Amino acid sequence: MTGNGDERMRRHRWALALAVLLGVKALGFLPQAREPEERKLVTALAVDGGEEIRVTAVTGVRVTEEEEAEVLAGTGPSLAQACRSLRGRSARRPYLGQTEQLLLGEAQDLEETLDFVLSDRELRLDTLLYIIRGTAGEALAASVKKVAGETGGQDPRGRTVGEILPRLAQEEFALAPALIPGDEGALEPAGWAVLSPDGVAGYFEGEAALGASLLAKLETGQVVTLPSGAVELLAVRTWAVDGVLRCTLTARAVEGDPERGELEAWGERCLGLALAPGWDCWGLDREEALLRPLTWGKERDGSLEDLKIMVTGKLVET
Amino acid sequence: MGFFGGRPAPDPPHPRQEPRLNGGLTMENLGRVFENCVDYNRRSVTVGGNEALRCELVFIAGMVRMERVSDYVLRPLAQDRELGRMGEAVAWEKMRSGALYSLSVTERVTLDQAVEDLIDGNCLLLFPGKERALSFNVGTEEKRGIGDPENEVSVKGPRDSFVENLRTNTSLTRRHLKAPELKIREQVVGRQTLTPVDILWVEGIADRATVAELERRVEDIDIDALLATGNLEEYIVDSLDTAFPLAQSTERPDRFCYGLCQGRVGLLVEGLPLGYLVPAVVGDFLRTPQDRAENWLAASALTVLRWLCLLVTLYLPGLYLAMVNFHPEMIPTRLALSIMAARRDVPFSALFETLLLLLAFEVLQEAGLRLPQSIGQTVSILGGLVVGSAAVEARLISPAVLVVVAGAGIAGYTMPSQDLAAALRLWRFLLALLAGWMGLFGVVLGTVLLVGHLAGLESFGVAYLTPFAVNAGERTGPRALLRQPLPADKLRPGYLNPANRRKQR
Repeated sequence: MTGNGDERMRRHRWALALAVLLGVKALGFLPQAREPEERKLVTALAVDGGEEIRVTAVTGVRVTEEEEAEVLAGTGPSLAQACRSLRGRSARRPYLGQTEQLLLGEAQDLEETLDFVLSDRELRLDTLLYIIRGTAGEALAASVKKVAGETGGQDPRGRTVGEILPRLAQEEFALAPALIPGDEGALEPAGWAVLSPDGVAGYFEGEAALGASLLAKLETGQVVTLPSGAVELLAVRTWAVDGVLRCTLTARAVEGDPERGELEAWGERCLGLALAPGWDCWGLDREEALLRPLTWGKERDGSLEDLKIMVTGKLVET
Repeated sequence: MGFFGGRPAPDPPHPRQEPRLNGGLTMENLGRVFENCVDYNRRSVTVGGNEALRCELVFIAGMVRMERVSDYVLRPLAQDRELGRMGEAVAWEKMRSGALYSLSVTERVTLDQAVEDLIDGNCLLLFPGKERALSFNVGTEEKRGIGDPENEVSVKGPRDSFVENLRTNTSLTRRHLKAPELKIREQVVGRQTLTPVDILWVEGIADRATVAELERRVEDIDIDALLATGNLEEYIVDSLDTAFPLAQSTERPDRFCYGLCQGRVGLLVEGLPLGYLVPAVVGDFLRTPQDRAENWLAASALTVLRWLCLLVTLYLPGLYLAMVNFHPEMIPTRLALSIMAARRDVPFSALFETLLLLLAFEVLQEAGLRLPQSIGQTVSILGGLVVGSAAVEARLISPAVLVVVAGAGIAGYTMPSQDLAAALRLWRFLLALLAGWMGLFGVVLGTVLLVGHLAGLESFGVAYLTPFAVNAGERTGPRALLRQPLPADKLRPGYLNPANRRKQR
């Protein structure tokens, strides 16, 4: 090829690339730009089911600013339409891409919600999912100041949609923190909600919730009151093998003269309560299989509540 | 031809006359050539006091050193009685073979040669009626002293730098590189400037094909004047359709000599305090001579940092635009809220604001460079701090954009080569435009264009993206980015095709 031919070909290539780009842009395949100040960032979204789905959104504000957080509400026959209806409720376009907390009312269809998060262009899988014992929208509106100012915070009990989805696929059950509106409007912890593909299967409350937390290795720092004193849990380790659920609790005394036996009894009681309903939200079966490769794929005889619980307490001085 | 229409008239020819000056080498012809030249001087001298034997001495004032002419040419010419007693032919031969004290004496027989010698600072001695002259090297050696390199600062290393005088520069090279295999070949470029250009290489190391190619390209240059670096660079590089430098320039003789030892070919030009090295690939522009002076771990870390800064200066404004306008979910919520709050009263779009600031940054930099150093610093401070903060306070721009553009600019300052930094600044604009148009798709598209462009470049037959792209089939691994401990770095780069690859035991 001659030099001129090369040059011509190069020019044609550039012209073709430019034409393709302009075409793609004109046909709307490329994302549309939107100036940041034209958006209203939604940081918490509450969804309540029923005959019509109702969504309540709280927009984020900077803690240092005096601006009030905005509460937007919309309804629709589906969650997608309910969310779309929010657009007319504010001078700026509500943007769901920064939603950090997703609050589900008890009546909301879990499957539809998770499907919506998966398919929506804006919502993210790292959104924390909470189950509200009651109506989520009202609870969110009541605690709007706290929610709006809590952007970017860490919740150790938090479970993201991205964590819950594979749990449901693998174990059929997943834990999500349950909240209940408190006296002054603020949302307060109310144990754990047990999610199944069909919806909320039940709740762990009281000592059962503590047992669930122990199995999720979450209760480090928890102060446990025993008959002879109080201890602070420093480390929790649980694992299931050969039909035995073993748990090691390492704690230090913070009040009185607590006894190790009492700590172990407390642990056994909590774990027993958590296992009793037979909801394996922690993947104990899978863990057991991983510890014993020869038993992979074999179902354990008996159900979760038949697991023998062995708790070992360790009291350390610090 | 009109501004908008019509074909421009074809370029007029560039006539060249060989020989440049017609006529024989006589005093009359010399006088005609230098007519209306006040610095042209002519003096008639009696040889050895013999009135019957007279000769003419011509020189150009300011180009010769007067003491040398007086003490080493005129004095023996006038006082040596032996010369006066000889005939003209014998006296001529005596003067040519050492009766006059000059390091170099050449006999010239053409007007062209004689005129060139005069301009170079020689003095000519002619006998009336004879068409030949003796040319004595008595040129002045006025030149700038060898100082510290201004643009390639050395903390732990030699502090000498090239100057405008070519012979000083070749001597500096010889002092650093004493091997007799160092070859220096000279060509003259520029019809009006007649600028000597020296090509340097180490015989037995450099690729002969590269030397021959460079010689051919220099020989092909037929211009009026070689006065600026572009007069040379743009004629010897492989492609002009790029902003990226394809020949590496340095003002440090040690770096120049290291390049020669690696197997590269050097170029020195009279009047330019720089040396050029070819071939040059992208990695060469991110290394500094300081790298070999520092601990290899520290040098490697700094090299990686420079590569990161290259990415930052290139992509930061584009990524900011893409994330803010198209993909805000990529920004942490607190930061997104801050950006929104800061932009609330800004009247411009994020794209316009970013381009405006990028442009302002370039203007400030240009203003700082053009002004004297003390005023330049004031302009930078005024522009960067005072005007910047005032613009933020007046809500003309948002602080986030200011931080982004300043961050990109500062990252660009870490580039050891200003030529590379300038190319990156141009591409930064393009990437920002594409990002403002298409978001991350635009950034990716810009990256594809950039990589495609770089992959199409060559420097004297070597792929510009070497060692990332081709590297003559050789595996470099992390060496592409990191500096090896010097005892382990035993081979010269394969892509330079050196005649001898081993460089140490």
